[in-house]
Amino acid sequence: MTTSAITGGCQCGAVRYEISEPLHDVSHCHCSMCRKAHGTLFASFGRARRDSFNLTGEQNVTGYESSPGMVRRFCKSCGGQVVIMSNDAPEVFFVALGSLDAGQSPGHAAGEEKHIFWESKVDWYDPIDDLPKVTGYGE
Amino acid sequence: MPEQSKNVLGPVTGGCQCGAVRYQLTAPPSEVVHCHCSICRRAHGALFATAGVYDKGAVIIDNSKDLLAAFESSPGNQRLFCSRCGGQLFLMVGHWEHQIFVVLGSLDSGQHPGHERANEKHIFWESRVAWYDPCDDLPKVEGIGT
Repeated sequence: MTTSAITGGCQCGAVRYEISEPLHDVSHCHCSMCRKAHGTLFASFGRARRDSFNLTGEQNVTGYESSPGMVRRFCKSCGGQVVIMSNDAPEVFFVALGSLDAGQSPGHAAGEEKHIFWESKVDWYDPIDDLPKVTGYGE
Repeated sequence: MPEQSKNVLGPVTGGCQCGAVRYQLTAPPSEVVHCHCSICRRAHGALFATAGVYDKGAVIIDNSKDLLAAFESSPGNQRLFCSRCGGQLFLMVGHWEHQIFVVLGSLDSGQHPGHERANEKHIFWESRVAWYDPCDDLPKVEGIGT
């Protein structure tokens, strides 16, 4: 691993990972499934190549298929959401960015960040940042 | 003009992602907090976590309590989540005998929790990730504020 590896894991530490390169395409997702999966008003993800992602504690991970072909993987011990795996994108993981150590930046480039499924967001809380807000995944 | 407090027609409902754990809230929360502390970020895998403070008597969990798993995230504090899907649902703080936090992303259909906007704020703002700012106009306090 390079010194710039991104590290993270679940709350209890039973599941840990290292990512050897910066993440891409950060999405703040407001869809109803992300809200329920994380228990938050939106959930933030970055895309990592599976080849760059090294997980330890695999035996502590379980998964929930929240929609067909999309599995949300979380720690059995603490419930911490770690990554989403999608059959439609077998070469990548979508890393839950709240699981990064010490709030570190996912290292994405400027312009690679947006709100998605904005039409599904709760109507009682508005982030008013200047990021793009798109319907569904956007185009 | 005071900010609207939604009159809730009937109980607010919620549950985890897979539906194994369901609950009803029979009264609005006294307070809503968007918490940026490192423990909430990890527990939820999100940049901040939003929870309402409820009287325990206002939170009715249906016959699914045996599917709730607990993790003691700090001494005396129990985070309860669905053992099937990992959905975070409740936080019980040890020295709070009569109150419970309900995580508001678990409300059905993004319902309004029914609080007054004056009772909503960001807490542990000093712990937030440096790379994202929601830029809203809610109060932001250090720790839990005063």
